[in-house]
Amino acid sequence: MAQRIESLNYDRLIPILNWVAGGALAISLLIIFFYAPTELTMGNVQRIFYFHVGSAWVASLAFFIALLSGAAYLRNPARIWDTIAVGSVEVGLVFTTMTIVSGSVWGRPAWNTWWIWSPRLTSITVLWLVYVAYFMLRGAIEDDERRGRFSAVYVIAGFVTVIITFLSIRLLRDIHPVLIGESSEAAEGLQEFSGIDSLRMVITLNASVITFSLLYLAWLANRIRLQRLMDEAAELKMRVMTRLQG
Amino acid sequence: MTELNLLLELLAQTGMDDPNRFNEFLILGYAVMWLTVMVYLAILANRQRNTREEIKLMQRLLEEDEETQN
Repeated sequence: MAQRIESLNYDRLIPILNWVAGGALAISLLIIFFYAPTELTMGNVQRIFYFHVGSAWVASLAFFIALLSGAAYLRNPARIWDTIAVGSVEVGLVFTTMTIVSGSVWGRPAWNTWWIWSPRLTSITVLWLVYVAYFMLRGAIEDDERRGRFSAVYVIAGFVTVIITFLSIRLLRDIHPVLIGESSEAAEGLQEFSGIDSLRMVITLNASVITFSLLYLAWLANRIRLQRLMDEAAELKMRVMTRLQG
Repeated sequence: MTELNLLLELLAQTGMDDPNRFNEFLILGYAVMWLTVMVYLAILANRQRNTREEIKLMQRLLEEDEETQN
Protein backbone atom coordinates (compact mmCIF):
# COMPACT_ATOMS: atom_id res chain seq x y z
CA MET A 1 0.00 0.00 0.00
CA ALA A 2 2.74 2.44 1.05
CA GLN A 3 4.76 1.57 -2.05
CA ARG A 4 1.74 2.02 -4.29
CA ILE A 5 1.04 5.52 -2.91
CA GLU A 6 4.74 6.36 -3.10
CA SER A 7 5.04 5.22 -6.72
CA LEU A 8 2.21 7.47 -7.97
CA ASN A 9 3.27 10.00 -10.59
CA TYR A 10 2.34 13.19 -8.72
CA ASP A 11 3.52 15.50 -11.51
CA ARG A 12 0.90 13.93 -13.80
CA LEU A 13 -1.77 13.40 -11.16
CA ILE A 14 -1.75 16.88 -9.59
CA PRO A 15 -2.80 18.94 -12.67
CA ILE A 16 -5.73 16.51 -13.24
CA LEU A 17 -6.82 16.74 -9.60
CA ASN A 18 -6.44 20.53 -9.62
CA TRP A 19 -8.65 20.90 -12.70
CA VAL A 20 -11.28 18.45 -11.44
CA ALA A 21 -11.45 20.19 -8.05
CA GLY A 22 -11.54 23.64 -9.67
CA GLY A 23 -14.36 22.57 -12.02
CA ALA A 24 -16.31 21.01 -9.16
CA LEU A 25 -15.90 24.22 -7.16
CA ALA A 26 -17.29 26.31 -10.02
CA ILE A 27 -20.27 23.96 -10.43
CA SER A 28 -20.83 23.92 -6.68
CA LEU A 29 -20.92 27.73 -6.54
CA LEU A 30 -23.45 27.81 -9.38
CA ILE A 31 -25.63 25.29 -7.55
CA ILE A 32 -25.38 27.20 -4.25
CA PHE A 33 -26.33 30.56 -5.76
CA PHE A 34 -28.72 29.58 -8.57
CA TYR A 35 -30.23 26.21 -7.68
CA ALA A 36 -30.51 26.06 -3.88
CA PRO A 37 -33.72 27.58 -2.53
CA THR A 38 -33.66 30.68 -0.37
CA GLU A 39 -34.08 29.70 3.27
CA LEU A 40 -37.29 30.98 4.85
CA THR A 41 -36.14 32.62 8.06
CA MET A 42 -32.63 33.83 7.27
CA GLY A 43 -32.80 34.52 3.56
CA ASN A 44 -29.74 34.43 1.29
CA VAL A 45 -27.15 34.53 4.06
CA GLN A 46 -28.00 30.88 4.77
CA ARG A 47 -26.01 30.04 1.60
CA ILE A 48 -22.87 30.28 3.77
CA PHE A 49 -24.12 27.01 5.29
CA TYR A 50 -23.08 24.94 2.25
CA PHE A 51 -19.42 25.99 2.46
CA HIS A 52 -19.49 25.95 6.27
CA VAL A 53 -20.69 22.33 6.45
CA GLY A 54 -18.56 21.26 3.46
CA SER A 55 -15.36 22.59 5.03
CA ALA A 56 -16.26 21.13 8.46
CA TRP A 57 -16.85 17.71 6.89
CA VAL A 58 -13.55 17.76 5.01
CA ALA A 59 -11.64 18.96 8.08
CA SER A 60 -12.95 15.91 9.98
CA LEU A 61 -12.06 13.66 7.03
CA ALA A 62 -8.55 15.14 6.88
CA PHE A 63 -7.95 14.53 10.59
CA PHE A 64 -9.32 10.99 10.24
CA ILE A 65 -6.94 10.27 7.34
CA ALA A 66 -4.13 11.70 9.49
CA LEU A 67 -5.16 9.30 12.27
CA LEU A 68 -5.10 6.33 9.86
CA SER A 69 -1.71 7.40 8.49
CA GLY A 70 -0.38 7.76 12.04
CA ALA A 71 -1.58 4.24 12.88
CA ALA A 72 -0.07 2.92 9.61
CA TYR A 73 3.25 4.63 10.45
CA LEU A 74 3.38 2.97 13.87
CA ARG A 75 2.77 -0.40 12.22
CA ASN A 76 5.17 0.14 9.32
CA PRO A 77 7.38 3.25 9.64
CA ALA A 78 7.42 4.12 5.93
CA ARG A 79 8.11 7.80 5.18
CA ILE A 80 4.96 8.16 3.05
CA TRP A 81 2.64 7.63 6.05
CA ASP A 82 4.27 10.49 7.91
CA THR A 83 4.06 12.63 4.76
CA ILE A 84 0.33 11.91 4.35
CA ALA A 85 -0.31 12.63 8.05
CA VAL A 86 1.47 15.99 8.02
CA GLY A 87 -0.18 17.01 4.73
CA SER A 88 -3.57 15.94 5.94
CA VAL A 89 -3.29 17.85 9.22
CA GLU A 90 -2.13 20.97 7.37
CA VAL A 91 -5.03 20.85 4.90
CA GLY A 92 -7.42 19.97 7.75
CA LEU A 93 -6.31 23.08 9.62
CA VAL A 94 -7.05 25.27 6.59
CA PHE A 95 -10.55 23.78 6.36
CA THR A 96 -11.07 24.15 10.12
CA THR A 97 -10.09 27.82 9.84
CA MET A 98 -12.65 28.21 7.04
CA THR A 99 -15.29 26.51 9.19
CA ILE A 100 -14.63 28.74 12.19
CA VAL A 101 -14.52 31.94 10.16
CA SER A 102 -17.63 31.17 8.11
CA GLY A 103 -19.49 30.08 11.26
CA SER A 104 -18.59 33.30 13.00
CA VAL A 105 -19.77 35.42 10.07
CA TRP A 106 -23.02 33.43 9.87
CA GLY A 107 -23.43 33.65 13.65
CA ARG A 108 -23.59 37.44 13.56
CA PRO A 109 -26.98 37.64 11.76
CA ALA A 110 -28.24 34.32 13.20
CA TRP A 111 -27.34 34.80 16.89
CA ASN A 112 -26.60 38.52 16.91
CA THR A 113 -23.03 37.87 17.98
CA TRP A 114 -19.74 37.05 16.21
CA TRP A 115 -18.64 34.62 18.88
CA ILE A 116 -19.96 32.88 21.95
CA TRP A 117 -18.08 30.40 24.15
CA SER A 118 -20.67 27.65 23.69
CA PRO A 119 -19.57 23.97 23.89
CA ARG A 120 -19.28 23.64 20.08
CA LEU A 121 -17.33 26.83 19.52
CA THR A 122 -15.07 26.16 22.49
CA SER A 123 -14.37 22.56 21.45
CA ILE A 124 -13.55 23.52 17.85
CA THR A 125 -11.15 26.20 19.15
CA VAL A 126 -9.44 23.55 21.28
CA LEU A 127 -9.33 21.25 18.21
CA TRP A 128 -7.69 24.01 16.14
CA LEU A 129 -5.08 24.67 18.83
CA VAL A 130 -4.34 20.96 19.29
CA TYR A 131 -3.59 20.53 15.59
CA VAL A 132 -1.53 23.74 15.46
CA ALA A 133 0.52 22.29 18.34
CA TYR A 134 1.18 19.23 16.14
CA PHE A 135 3.46 21.39 13.99
CA MET A 136 5.16 22.79 17.08
CA LEU A 137 5.88 19.22 18.20
CA ARG A 138 7.32 18.33 14.80
CA GLY A 139 9.47 21.43 14.80
CA ALA A 140 10.91 20.52 18.20
CA ILE A 141 12.21 17.05 17.18
CA GLU A 142 15.18 16.80 14.82
CA ASP A 143 15.51 13.06 14.35
CA ASP A 144 13.25 11.92 11.48
CA GLU A 145 12.35 8.56 12.96
CA ARG A 146 11.54 9.95 16.43
CA ARG A 147 9.59 12.85 14.91
CA GLY A 148 7.52 10.44 12.82
CA ARG A 149 6.76 8.20 15.80
CA PHE A 150 5.90 11.01 18.22
CA SER A 151 3.78 12.77 15.59
CA ALA A 152 1.92 9.54 14.82
CA VAL A 153 1.00 9.05 18.47
CA TYR A 154 0.02 12.72 18.79
CA VAL A 155 -2.20 12.70 15.70
CA ILE A 156 -4.02 9.58 16.95
CA ALA A 157 -4.59 11.11 20.40
CA GLY A 158 -5.53 14.46 18.85
CA PHE A 159 -8.51 12.91 17.09
CA VAL A 160 -10.29 12.87 20.46
CA THR A 161 -10.90 16.61 19.93
CA VAL A 162 -12.75 15.83 16.66
CA ILE A 163 -15.01 13.37 18.49
CA ILE A 164 -15.61 15.84 21.34
CA THR A 165 -16.45 18.60 18.83
CA PHE A 166 -18.88 16.30 17.03
CA LEU A 167 -20.60 15.21 20.25
CA SER A 168 -20.59 18.60 21.99
CA ILE A 169 -23.86 19.81 20.49
CA ARG A 170 -25.48 16.42 20.92
CA LEU A 171 -24.72 16.05 24.61
CA LEU A 172 -24.66 19.62 25.91
CA ARG A 173 -26.98 22.58 25.60
CA ASP A 174 -25.72 24.68 22.75
CA ILE A 175 -26.87 27.47 20.48
CA HIS A 176 -25.36 25.62 17.50
CA PRO A 177 -27.90 23.48 15.59
CA VAL A 178 -27.61 19.70 15.10
CA LEU A 179 -27.61 18.80 11.41
CA ILE A 180 -27.04 15.03 11.41
CA GLY A 181 -28.72 12.80 13.98
CA GLU A 182 -30.44 13.98 17.11
CA SER A 183 -29.34 15.74 20.25
CA SER A 184 -29.92 14.28 23.69
CA GLU A 185 -32.90 15.50 25.70
CA ALA A 186 -30.65 17.50 28.01
CA ALA A 187 -29.16 19.34 25.06
CA GLU A 188 -32.46 20.38 23.53
CA GLY A 189 -34.12 23.70 24.02
CA LEU A 190 -31.97 26.32 22.35
CA GLN A 191 -31.83 24.91 18.86
CA GLU A 192 -34.35 26.51 16.55
CA PHE A 193 -32.82 25.53 13.21
CA SER A 194 -35.09 22.97 11.55
CA GLY A 195 -32.31 21.52 9.41
CA ILE A 196 -32.52 20.75 5.74
CA ASP A 197 -36.12 20.75 4.63
CA SER A 198 -35.94 20.52 0.86
CA LEU A 199 -34.49 18.07 -1.66
CA ARG A 200 -32.72 20.89 -3.47
CA MET A 201 -30.94 21.80 -0.22
CA VAL A 202 -29.84 18.17 0.18
CA ILE A 203 -28.51 18.05 -3.40
CA THR A 204 -26.66 21.35 -2.90
CA LEU A 205 -25.14 20.20 0.37
CA ASN A 206 -24.02 16.90 -1.18
CA ALA A 207 -22.48 18.74 -4.14
CA SER A 208 -20.62 20.98 -1.71
CA VAL A 209 -19.35 18.04 0.36
CA ILE A 210 -18.12 16.22 -2.80
CA THR A 211 -16.43 19.42 -4.03
CA PHE A 212 -14.63 19.97 -0.76
CA SER A 213 -13.54 16.33 -0.69
CA LEU A 214 -12.04 16.77 -4.18
CA LEU A 215 -10.31 19.96 -3.04
CA TYR A 216 -8.89 18.04 -0.10
CA LEU A 217 -7.50 15.35 -2.42
CA ALA A 218 -5.94 17.94 -4.75
CA TRP A 219 -4.36 19.90 -1.91
CA LEU A 220 -3.12 16.76 -0.20
CA ALA A 221 -1.45 15.58 -3.43
CA ASN A 222 0.18 19.02 -3.79
CA ARG A 223 1.35 18.85 -0.18
CA ILE A 224 2.80 15.34 -0.68
CA ARG A 225 4.74 16.56 -3.71
CA LEU A 226 6.04 19.52 -1.69
CA GLN A 227 7.16 17.21 1.12
CA ARG A 228 9.02 15.02 -1.39
CA LEU A 229 10.78 18.09 -2.80
CA MET A 230 11.68 19.19 0.74
CA ASP A 231 13.10 15.73 1.48
CA GLU A 232 15.10 15.83 -1.76
CA ALA A 233 16.43 19.30 -0.87
CA ALA A 234 17.41 18.11 2.61
CA GLU A 235 19.24 15.11 1.15
CA LEU A 236 21.13 17.29 -1.35
CA LYS A 237 22.02 19.71 1.45
CA MET A 238 23.51 16.84 3.41
CA ARG A 239 25.57 15.78 0.40
CA VAL A 240 26.85 19.34 -0.11
CA MET A 241 27.72 19.62 3.60
CA THR A 242 29.61 16.32 3.48
CA ARG A 243 31.54 17.46 0.42
CA LEU A 244 32.40 20.80 2.01
CA GLN A 245 33.58 19.09 5.19
CA GLY A 246 35.57 16.50 3.24
CA MET B 1 -58.05 40.85 18.42
CA THR B 2 -55.39 39.43 20.72
CA GLU B 3 -55.36 36.22 18.70
CA LEU B 4 -54.99 38.21 15.51
CA ASN B 5 -52.06 40.16 16.98
CA LEU B 6 -50.42 36.94 18.09
CA LEU B 7 -50.88 35.44 14.64
CA LEU B 8 -49.41 38.54 13.00
CA GLU B 9 -46.45 38.46 15.37
CA LEU B 10 -45.80 34.82 14.58
CA LEU B 11 -46.01 35.52 10.87
CA ALA B 12 -43.60 38.42 11.23
CA GLN B 13 -41.12 36.20 13.04
CA THR B 14 -41.16 33.30 10.65
CA GLY B 15 -41.82 35.05 7.36
CA MET B 16 -39.08 36.11 5.00
CA ASP B 17 -39.72 39.84 4.76
CA ASP B 18 -36.47 40.58 2.89
CA PRO B 19 -34.22 37.69 1.85
CA ASN B 20 -31.40 40.13 1.07
CA ARG B 21 -31.29 41.80 4.47
CA PHE B 22 -28.12 39.98 5.59
CA ASN B 23 -26.38 39.96 2.22
CA GLU B 24 -23.37 41.87 3.54
CA PHE B 25 -22.65 38.89 5.82
CA LEU B 26 -23.01 36.49 2.90
CA ILE B 27 -20.44 38.50 0.93
CA LEU B 28 -18.17 38.83 3.96
CA GLY B 29 -18.39 35.09 4.70
CA TYR B 30 -17.46 34.02 1.19
CA ALA B 31 -14.77 36.72 0.90
CA VAL B 32 -13.05 35.60 4.10
CA MET B 33 -13.24 31.93 3.06
CA TRP B 34 -11.76 32.70 -0.36
CA LEU B 35 -9.04 34.79 1.27
CA THR B 36 -8.13 31.84 3.53
CA VAL B 37 -7.91 29.55 0.49
CA MET B 38 -5.87 32.04 -1.54
CA VAL B 39 -3.41 32.68 1.29
CA TYR B 40 -2.88 28.93 1.77
CA LEU B 41 -2.42 28.29 -1.96
CA ALA B 42 0.01 31.22 -2.23
CA ILE B 43 2.04 29.86 0.72
CA LEU B 44 2.03 26.38 -0.84
CA ALA B 45 3.14 27.69 -4.26
CA ASN B 46 5.81 29.88 -2.68
CA ARG B 47 7.24 27.00 -0.63
CA GLN B 48 7.25 24.79 -3.71
CA ARG B 49 9.08 27.40 -5.79
CA ASN B 50 11.66 28.08 -3.07
CA THR B 51 12.31 24.36 -2.57
CA ARG B 52 12.79 23.81 -6.31
CA GLU B 53 15.26 26.71 -6.41
CA GLU B 54 17.07 25.27 -3.42
CA ILE B 55 17.33 21.88 -5.16
CA LYS B 56 18.73 23.53 -8.31
CA LEU B 57 21.28 25.46 -6.24
CA MET B 58 22.43 22.32 -4.41
CA GLN B 59 22.71 20.38 -7.67
CA ARG B 60 24.80 23.19 -9.20
CA LEU B 61 27.06 23.27 -6.14
CA LEU B 62 27.57 19.53 -6.37
CA GLU B 63 28.31 19.74 -10.11
CA GLU B 64 30.80 22.58 -9.57
CA ASP B 65 32.49 20.60 -6.82
CA GLU B 66 32.78 17.57 -9.08
CA GLU B 67 34.26 19.71 -11.88
CA THR B 68 36.89 21.22 -9.58
CA GLN B 69 37.83 17.76 -8.32
CA ASN B 70 38.30 16.53 -11.89
